Amino acid sequence: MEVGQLLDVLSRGLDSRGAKDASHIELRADDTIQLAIDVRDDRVEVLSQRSDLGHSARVLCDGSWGFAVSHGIRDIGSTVADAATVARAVGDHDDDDRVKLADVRSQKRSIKSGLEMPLDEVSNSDKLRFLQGVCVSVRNSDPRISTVRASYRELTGKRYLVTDEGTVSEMEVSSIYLMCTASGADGSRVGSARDEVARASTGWELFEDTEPKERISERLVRKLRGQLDGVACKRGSFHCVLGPRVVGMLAHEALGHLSEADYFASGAFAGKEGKLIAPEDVSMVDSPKVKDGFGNIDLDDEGVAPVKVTLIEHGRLKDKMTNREWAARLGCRPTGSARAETYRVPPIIRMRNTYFEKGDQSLEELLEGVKSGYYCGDVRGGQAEANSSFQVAIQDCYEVKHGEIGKPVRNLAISGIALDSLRLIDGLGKDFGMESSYCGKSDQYMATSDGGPHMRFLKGGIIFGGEE
Amino acid sequence: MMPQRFACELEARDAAQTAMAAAERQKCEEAEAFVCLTGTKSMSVEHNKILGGSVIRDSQVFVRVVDRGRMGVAFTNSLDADSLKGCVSAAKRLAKANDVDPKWCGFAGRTGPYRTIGGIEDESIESITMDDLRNGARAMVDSALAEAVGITVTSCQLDAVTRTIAVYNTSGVEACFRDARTSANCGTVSGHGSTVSPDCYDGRVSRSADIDYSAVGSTCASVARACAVSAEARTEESQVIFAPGSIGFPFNGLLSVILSRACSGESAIQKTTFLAGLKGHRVGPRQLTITDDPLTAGLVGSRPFDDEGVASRRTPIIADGVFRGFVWNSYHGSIAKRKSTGNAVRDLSTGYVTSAPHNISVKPGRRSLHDLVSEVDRGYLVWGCQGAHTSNVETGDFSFVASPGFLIERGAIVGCVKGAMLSGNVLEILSGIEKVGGDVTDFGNMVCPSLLVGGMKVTTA
Repeated sequence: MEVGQLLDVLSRGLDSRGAKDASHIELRADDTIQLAIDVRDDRVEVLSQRSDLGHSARVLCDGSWGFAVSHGIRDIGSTVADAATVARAVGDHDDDDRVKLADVRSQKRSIKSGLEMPLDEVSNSDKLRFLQGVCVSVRNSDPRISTVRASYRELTGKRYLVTDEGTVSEMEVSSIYLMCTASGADGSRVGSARDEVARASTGWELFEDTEPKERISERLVRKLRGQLDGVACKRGSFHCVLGPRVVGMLAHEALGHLSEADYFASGAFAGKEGKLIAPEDVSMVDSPKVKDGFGNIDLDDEGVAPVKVTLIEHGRLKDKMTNREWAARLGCRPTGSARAETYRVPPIIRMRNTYFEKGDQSLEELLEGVKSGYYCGDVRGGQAEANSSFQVAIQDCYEVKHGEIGKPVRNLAISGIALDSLRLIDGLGKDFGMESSYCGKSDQYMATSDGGPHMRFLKGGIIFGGEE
Repeated sequence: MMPQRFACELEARDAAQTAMAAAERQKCEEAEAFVCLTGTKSMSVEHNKILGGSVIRDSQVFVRVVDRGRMGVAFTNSLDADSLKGCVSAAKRLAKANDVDPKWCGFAGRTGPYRTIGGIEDESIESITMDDLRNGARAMVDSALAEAVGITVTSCQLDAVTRTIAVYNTSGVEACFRDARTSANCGTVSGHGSTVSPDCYDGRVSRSADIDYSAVGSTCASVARACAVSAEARTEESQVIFAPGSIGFPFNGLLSVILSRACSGESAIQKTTFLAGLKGHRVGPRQLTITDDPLTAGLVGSRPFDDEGVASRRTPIIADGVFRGFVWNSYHGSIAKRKSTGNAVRDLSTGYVTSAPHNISVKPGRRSLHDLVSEVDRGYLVWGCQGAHTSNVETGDFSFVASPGFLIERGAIVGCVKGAMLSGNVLEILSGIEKVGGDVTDFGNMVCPSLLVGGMKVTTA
């Protein structure tokens, strides 16, 4: 079906007879192809193509949401009617509980990706050879490496949104996610490490220019060697320097989630608006567009033009990320933070690219202040809780002795209570870096980036869950 | 009018047959069609308030074709003949771009009649209405809020799901089954701002429309209420009781996350499991028996055949403390020169078929959780493992925050500890098991009781 037709079909769905009493109707459709290639060592494990064509309707009736999903793009009126029926069944609210939406300006957008090397113009064979090249390069770097896996996902196609308020958007999608993992053994010591490369709106030029196989291989091998050669981490709290990727994970997990309006009200930040929660040189934002951001968006999935949100300004808790519903509830502006993984799920409040602003110290200056402690350079996932408790698994760590980076350290996770940890930041770097991955919330996995400068924490700020 | 179950089976079989016919017309040497049709009704709650509901009808078709040892996989979510034909063509095109897999041994063959498993398709689940779910959600919220002042129900999700799976292939498999489940998950916190508790979760999943929503809400809120009293953890080695959810929840249960990968035959072949080389060795006490059990009537992980159409069976993983072996699909089994144990599990994002357990069942003991607590002089009760999903599944190493976690002194819970980390290796947990509880909970992929484990490393600031 032609693009214009698809938008027409969606627009006609807005007139469904089954939803005449709806106060809001929003229709989304995806016409996408996901290519998945997994290579282990030199063998192809997965070569698959996933074509998704489907639509969903989100309808507000009697102050409640109804959501319905169907595959294909036929019979959209029925999907709308189903969603309205569901919404009515929820009904029976007190007036205070009725969902209201903040007003927004309708948007008409047609967003093209405009890429140098569109992904569908690169053959699958070339992609296979590249991934095999990464695996071979890693494997040949160290005889202790036993297996290497490269998992590549690309998503191309279009996503559509129409609302009964006049928003009509059509967005080209072209994203890449590559996770490489390597495992090895040195005697009885087994280790593994991973490396992630992810970009929204990119073509194959990513691997030609900025992320050639040699660079990916070098990073992964360094991290794995750290696991195989590393000493055990001590248990307890230590003076430490965290690298941009770890700082990013803290920004995202420990602070970002608590600044999502739907989490804010029941989290540790409630009642702290405008209060000093960190040293005055600490600021943190969530931005819809940064260089190489995996969380970059042009329009959110409610059709709201996204804006940059200052979460912490000079140490004080400032704004929250909102969708239209929470913006109306809190009497603030919608920030364009409503995102849905696919048409199959309703949009919820999500981060885009979340990061701490830079400070003014070099890494050497930050390390100089540490007599005995640790430097954490890279992460392997994490999780946060309502009380600002965070846990981050670390896969690239070093001892620090008298301001110098020392031996690599294996296997550990760090944790803390963010509201306590933030107060113990005692240095901010003038550099900057980001990490990109998928964030899970309410069973939806969303592309996000996070980062910041190097950051130093006093003893008591970060707990190291090591082996000794 | 035809009952819904027959209509769905007919639709799934028809889609599989259409895809297979297209594969034959396109002269594919070998082909397989996997069809999964689901119908989901849901109700969600946010901040004490019923937010909305949803109905989702989903269809997923994966086609795998193999030509001269080269495999291609394609997916479509449309069941019309043109889409299915296009899906076969796409799979064939990908196969051409692929390398020959010298280890390919063909799709799994027919394994005879499948066992009928009772209690996996309760027809009353099909007839659950949005009104039923709304009333369930209200009961869950009301019972949680009634548990104590200062409780907030942060989120709840109630689902009623029916599913039909069909697997057809050129080796003679023509299999289809239908099942249903209900689930209810609740998240609560107590307190506000600086005094807020960690997120406290409870959930139930069932093969029947029998979930007591009020009980889910009140259990969850009672844990949050218990968090209002705080206690100091210290850095030490200590006894730890793992409540069922801390080890069994699909995403964040420590044993669920690690064991499901560690006992996979695929991990064994790749030597990416800490269980490699331990077959026949003691890894736990005699009272520890863990079985992959997809056959017991009424369990959520039960099913008559796996995602390749191979008949399900019970497979011992650990028997009387001794590691007995891995679970296999037909491909990885053939590489290891073993028969499939009926453990093909399909990744519904890519179509890749791995070897994985369906339902890790820990043989229960007799003690209640209360009994276990009363037997600990000083230790901790872990209700949730924050960060368990970041564990290293290859080495078995973990380092998570007990959240919520409680200090136990002289056989009683003293209060909630803040930020206590537990670290170690899963083999240390297994070998350190002192007592197995009798409070079995079905999480859908794991059925387990509480475990009392000695010698756990606890770290605090």
